[in-house]
Amino acid sequence: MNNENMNESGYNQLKQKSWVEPLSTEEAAEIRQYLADPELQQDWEDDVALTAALKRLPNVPVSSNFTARVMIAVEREEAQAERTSTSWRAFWRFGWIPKFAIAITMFCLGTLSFHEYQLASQAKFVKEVRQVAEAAPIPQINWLKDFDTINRMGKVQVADNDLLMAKQ
Amino acid sequence: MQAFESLVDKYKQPIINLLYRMLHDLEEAEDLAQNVFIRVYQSAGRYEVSAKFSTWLFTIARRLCLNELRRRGRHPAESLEASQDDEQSPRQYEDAKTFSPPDQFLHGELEQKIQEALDSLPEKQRIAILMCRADEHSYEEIAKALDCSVSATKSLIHRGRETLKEKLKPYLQTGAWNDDSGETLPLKRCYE
Repeated sequence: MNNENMNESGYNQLKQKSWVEPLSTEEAAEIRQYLADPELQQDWEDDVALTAALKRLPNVPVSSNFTARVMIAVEREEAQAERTSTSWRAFWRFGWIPKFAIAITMFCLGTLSFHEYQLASQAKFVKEVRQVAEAAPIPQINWLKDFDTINRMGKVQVADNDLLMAKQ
Repeated sequence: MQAFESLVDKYKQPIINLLYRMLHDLEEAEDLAQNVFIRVYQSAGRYEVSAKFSTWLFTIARRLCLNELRRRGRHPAESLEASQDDEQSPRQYEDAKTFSPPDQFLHGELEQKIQEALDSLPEKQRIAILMCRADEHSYEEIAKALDCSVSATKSLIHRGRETLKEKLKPYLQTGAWNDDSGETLPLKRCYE
């Protein structure tokens, strides 16, 4: 049983090998030994015939100018790429003027952005302070005159005679 | 540039063969093949020498081909060429072997049957089998081009071939694909 399994596995491996390359003499002899069974032989012959049929599919005719067309297309791509890089190089070729102009522009934009940020932060701060001021006005100073007394009253558990007399 | 031109000359036939067998339109196959080579030229800087050039080439061809098939699936359009083929006899191409006229007709019909059987396969199985038939690619190279493992590739090819054998059984058993000596090629080569 084990031998049969090994042979079947070996047969399948050789079959797969025959799909991509011809078998050697030894491998063919191994197959011939295994193919004593007529059913297996039919399967092998069908497989071989299919391999031959696929190989026999003829080549498709290729236009005689195919390579030339590819080279023209490639040269066109190259020329386009060259034009794009040339326009950039020409821009930089004018020397320090374009570089200076770009530097100045970047500086101005940066300064303006920072200034806008500062103004926005200040406005936000002012708005927050105004909101707090409107919600909780600062108490008048004479309201705080009896602050300590009132604070102590909250902590008293029994009547404080001294405090009552002081209030009189 | 000259080196690239040599590569185009060397690989245009197998690439167009594959694309035609997938797309069934020679003009589209050539257009797509042209795009493949342009992409190869543009991506030359990214090519890793670890893979064979042909493997990389077929990987690009496979991707563009599948993109085109999906595009066709979203926007189906009947090809004039395809409709003409239905009415006329199978297209006859130049073949290395010379056959007598009845054999030419027989081979044309067999070719059509093989193509019909191939068309019934899922795209990945079809590409795997078409790459496999040429004796030019190992399983590892086909797996790389298909972007899957070697075992998955072998499984794709096995399933595809089983389907083809089933569909082509009556034709396979006529012996019409044997070589001139009457023996089937791989065994004859082995016994020499």
